Amino acid sequence: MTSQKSSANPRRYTFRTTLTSNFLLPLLNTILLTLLLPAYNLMQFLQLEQDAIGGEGAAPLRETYTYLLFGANDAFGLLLIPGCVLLSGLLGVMVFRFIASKKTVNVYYSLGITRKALFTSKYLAGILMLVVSVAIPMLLNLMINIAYLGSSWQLWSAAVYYFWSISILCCFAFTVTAAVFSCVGTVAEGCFFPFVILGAPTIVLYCLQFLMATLYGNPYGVYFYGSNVPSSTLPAMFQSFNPILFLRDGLTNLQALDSAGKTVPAMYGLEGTPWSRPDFLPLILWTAAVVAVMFLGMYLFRRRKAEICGFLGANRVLNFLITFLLGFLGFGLVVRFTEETLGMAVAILIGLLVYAVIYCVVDLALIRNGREFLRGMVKLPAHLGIALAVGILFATGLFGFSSRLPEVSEIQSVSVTVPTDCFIGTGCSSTGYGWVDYDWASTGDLLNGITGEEDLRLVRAVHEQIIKSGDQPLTSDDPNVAREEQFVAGRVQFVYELKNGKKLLRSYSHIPVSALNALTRVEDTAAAKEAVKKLLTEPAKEERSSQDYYRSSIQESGAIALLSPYMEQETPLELSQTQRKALLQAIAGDVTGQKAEQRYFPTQQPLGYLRITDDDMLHGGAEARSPFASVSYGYMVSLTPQMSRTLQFLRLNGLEDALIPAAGVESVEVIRAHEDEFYQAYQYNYQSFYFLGAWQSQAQFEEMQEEMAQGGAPDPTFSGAARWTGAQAQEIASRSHIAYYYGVDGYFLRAKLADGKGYTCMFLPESAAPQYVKDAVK
Amino acid sequence: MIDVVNVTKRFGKFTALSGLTFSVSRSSIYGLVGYNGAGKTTLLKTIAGVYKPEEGEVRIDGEPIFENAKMKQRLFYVPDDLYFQPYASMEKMARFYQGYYPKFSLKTFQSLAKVFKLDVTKRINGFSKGMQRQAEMVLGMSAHPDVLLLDESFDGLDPAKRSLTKQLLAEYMAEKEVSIIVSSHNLHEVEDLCDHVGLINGQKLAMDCSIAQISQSRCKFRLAFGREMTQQDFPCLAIKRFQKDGSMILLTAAGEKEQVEAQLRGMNPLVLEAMPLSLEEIFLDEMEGTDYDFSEIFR
Repeated sequence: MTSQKSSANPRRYTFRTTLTSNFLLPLLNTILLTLLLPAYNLMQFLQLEQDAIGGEGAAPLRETYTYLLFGANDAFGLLLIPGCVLLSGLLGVMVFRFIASKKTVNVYYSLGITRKALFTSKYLAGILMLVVSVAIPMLLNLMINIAYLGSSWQLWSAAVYYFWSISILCCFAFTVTAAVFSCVGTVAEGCFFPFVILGAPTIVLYCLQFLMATLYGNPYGVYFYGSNVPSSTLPAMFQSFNPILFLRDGLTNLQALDSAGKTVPAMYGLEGTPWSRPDFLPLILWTAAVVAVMFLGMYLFRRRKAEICGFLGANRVLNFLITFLLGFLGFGLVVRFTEETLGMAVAILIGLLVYAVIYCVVDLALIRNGREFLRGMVKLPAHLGIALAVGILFATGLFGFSSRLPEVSEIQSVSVTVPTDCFIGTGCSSTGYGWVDYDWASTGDLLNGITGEEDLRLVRAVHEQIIKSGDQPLTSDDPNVAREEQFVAGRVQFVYELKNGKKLLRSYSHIPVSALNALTRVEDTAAAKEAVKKLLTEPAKEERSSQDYYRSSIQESGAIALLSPYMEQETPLELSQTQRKALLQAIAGDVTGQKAEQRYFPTQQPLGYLRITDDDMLHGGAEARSPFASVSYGYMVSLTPQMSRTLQFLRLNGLEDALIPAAGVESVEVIRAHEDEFYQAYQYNYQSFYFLGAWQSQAQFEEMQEEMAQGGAPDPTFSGAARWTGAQAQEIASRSHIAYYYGVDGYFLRAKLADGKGYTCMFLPESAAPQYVKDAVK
Repeated sequence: MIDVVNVTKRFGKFTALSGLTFSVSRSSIYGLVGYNGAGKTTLLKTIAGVYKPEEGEVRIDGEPIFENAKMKQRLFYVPDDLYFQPYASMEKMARFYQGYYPKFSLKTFQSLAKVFKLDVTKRINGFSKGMQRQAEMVLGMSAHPDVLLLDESFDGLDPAKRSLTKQLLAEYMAEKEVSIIVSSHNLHEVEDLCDHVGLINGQKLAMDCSIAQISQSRCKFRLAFGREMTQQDFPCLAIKRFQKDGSMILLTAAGEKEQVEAQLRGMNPLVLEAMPLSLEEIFLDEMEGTDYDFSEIFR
């Protein structure tokens, strides 16, 4: 207090005082980022170095890693975006809250500084603090990496990317808050609105994602099994346009780099993707967006009326935006979660009701004046009109989205789900269930590369059948609906590569059984046959995918056995590698010569089964067996008289004797086939609706029955079954199948084999059932 | 020189000021009076550049004040609702204003604080309401503004500090040739301190004249006649107030003092005495028509 006269520079003074009175939040930001970046990475470096010294498998750091910038996938790392947005937004509140108080506005607006200069000075001070709060931890991060690993251009470019993108994230949150404060009257609005606005793209995209999920065939947010199609939700797809998520990909991709130039280092035990130069274009565009919002904020600040101070709901545009976003979020959520049970029309009505309630609550909270609120109710129809229009768009298939089916001439190639993985995928497994929309069911992976015109026509026809059926309530537990007319939970996906370079994706989780039956014919396409050949005859690559593992298991190490028609006998085949190769060639020839219908809907009982598993524990003497029970993977073919190449191989190699004729049947118990029965049964199951029977020895069967009875829960399987003995039992058993596609009506049966050879469970299709069975079993 | 030209200020559909025009010259203290809610604060905020008028403008030395940083560095507004930074002392606030007012004088600040016996190192929020007003006045005058706007700034001051403040303002005005506008409900104070007065009523400036002019142009008459007289006996006068106390009549009438006096003299009164009107009487005259019949309220 020594100077007598001041030489005031209001801009500089405002800038300086903003810095000195608001440094706490940027300091917290620095602490947060220091913990997330340099501190975390330092711990990682120390740990990795210790592991390398201790010989715990980790290679010495300098040999393995180029840099380590951020643990984006760690729970800790998830704090980065919300933490930065929150702290930066709060800094905006602290810097600009003066504008929402009458007292401070009286002073600041009467001071010798223009509003433009006032805004600019305060804004630039905030931006400077945020940039510095990011720069310090990033610099430390960089120094730690350089100290441990040395400098590289990749490290520098990634560090610049991190610094820039996090700075932009912080600046955007701060700028939006500043712009919002420029046009609202209260601190409460200034605190709440910016975060809603920052979240607006996420809210809108999630709402659209919710609504997309109501569309039949929606591919967004759905995992496409067996393809390299990324599973992308709408929010993820439009991440680049989201002010709080635009940097997420970059953060993840550039978090670390190993010496082989891959992004995820081997320390995670994962395969990395090749490192690519950071894409700075989005950052340039987002920087431009920050500048644009700043100018908008400055414009609003200059035009701001001082008299709105202390008044809620002073900005009608923001009021509309906030009520719309929150109302639309409620609408989207309600439609998403009620549509399936109540139908789209009712869901939209309830959604509109919820929207109206949210509108009333938010609008009343903003206006706090009953009369004004009632006067403003005229806006409600406009709000509801927008939501209704969106709802109607989705209910009517979104401009033909649900019914879009490309013409054959438009298609370059198509990938489609196969009915099961048993023949061309990763093998049949008794545990091969999957969740599909909360129902037990699954299908196989996608079969890629279907191209021929006929094959395309076939796939297109299946797709057309699904589209025409439309989404319908599930009827799989309705005994009054014939199996072929049932609507079941499953998963059928189509990925069309179009000639115009575009992709068309559709994914269905509710499908008619008739379409599934048609889908089995996909295995008649050239691509499917090629896949079978590849599986059985082409050596696996070194890269170990699950399919490669399965192939090498079949071609190199898997145990091969012949099973009798009722599986009561199993004969292991001891084959040299040459013999194995020849056998697989023969099987490949026979299977590719077969029609899918012969595999899935056989009319004759086979001569026996040839099974290859990756588990040799089941050789001989087992007390129970099914084609795939108790094995991780299994490949099984039904040996029919038409499989000339395979039978020839067995003959030439003296293995013909291993084919044992079917045992005699003493009695059969028969029940009506029904999906629910699968869940109760322990003696049979299905994979992807492919019925898989099983055999149990007499001793084990009786032991289990006794154990269950003693446990107070007698075996419910086949309770109330019709029973036949003698010739009728023999006839029924001989018409039944251990493996059959459950796409038709039929019966489950348990045959008691003669001479105490055990019990075998099978499927008897309706078409093959004798009349007396049809009459007796309803 | 402050020029308020045809200023209209609306808050939504409500019009607070409508077409206000007046001037305040240099070396002048202008008193602004009016009922509560008449628009005094709105007018001061508009002059200070806090509010932007919907119509018209405010000029200082011929330049518009709104968003004019240079001109606003010459203006200090002491609002009714005082603002001090959280936990600030007078010293801190002095530093704050020093950042915005090029002519801010710490010497003046220290001297004024001493005159008011205010501790500049103590937190202002620990001050009494009156002391806070004094503190703001000290800060305002230390900024050496050419235009000083005081909104109800005498509220809460004790008589000694009122007198002191008046003296200081008069001295400051005379020394620096500045324009000061004071809004107040205390009409005696305005009468004492100001050389001009403006009365806001019904969104408009109902009266704008110098204090000297008031005493010259408006007065009340004490009359006595040799006969019984009622208000109806003065049909040629626009009587504003008529009081009878025995044979003595006290009346005020619209119009020039000389003209009214001549008319009364023509009625041959036994006694005719012209007495100046106080500002309060003028205020009440101007606000006529808003009198209530209180006896009706509780009936």
